[in-house]
Amino acid sequence: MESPYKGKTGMKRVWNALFYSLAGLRAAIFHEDAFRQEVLLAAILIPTALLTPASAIGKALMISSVLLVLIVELLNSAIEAAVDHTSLDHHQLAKRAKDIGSAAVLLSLLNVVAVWVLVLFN
Amino acid sequence: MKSPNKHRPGLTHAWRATGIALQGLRAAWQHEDAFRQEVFVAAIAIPVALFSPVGAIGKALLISGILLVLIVELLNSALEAAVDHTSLEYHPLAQRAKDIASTAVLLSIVNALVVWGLVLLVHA
Repeated sequence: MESPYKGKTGMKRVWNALFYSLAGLRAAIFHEDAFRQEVLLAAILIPTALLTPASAIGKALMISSVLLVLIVELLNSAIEAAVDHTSLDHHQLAKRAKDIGSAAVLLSLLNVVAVWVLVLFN
Repeated sequence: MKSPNKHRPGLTHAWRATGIALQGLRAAWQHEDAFRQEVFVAAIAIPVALFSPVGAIGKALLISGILLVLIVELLNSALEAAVDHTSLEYHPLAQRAKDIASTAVLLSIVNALVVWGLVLLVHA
């Protein structure tokens, strides 16, 4: 079975996908307070990583770990929106989906701490 | 459209979000056998990484590789719960959602194996 909302293929799809992605980014910034806070955090941490005396590979690791938080937050926000799309009522499985998604974000933040501590306090 | 289940903004949100995340970890531990197994592997692999002679960057790579598996497993579990919340009946798109998410977990495990292989065999 195929979703009737599947769009174009090939280069046309790549182009459309870029616009959907930018719309998603705007939605996350607009609706997700957590995403805004993490963007702010990234705006501070990424220049900081570039200014540290870590090697190029160390800097790449530090920046990737910060970007991973944004990636995991976007996936978490997408799951939250999907759950709310199904129903806005309180439901055990809805709560579990959202709680576990938010646990993934917490682990991605722990990953930032682990990577930064290891790379900086070499 | 705004979800009425949204929490308050700001630092209050950050604090509450931590509580929610801890409940999520507990739920994943209770309901997901795969997550428990991966936590066991992480509990062994992370100390091994810290004591391997591969330099700080090698250690950071080894540990991130393992944490990424746990992160992707949690997203997979969240998505499974979301699909089951929609309907517990069999549906080909529900099946596809779960299959694709579990492929993401498989790829994160392959990534961990590649990173560990390269860092330990080549770098050490």
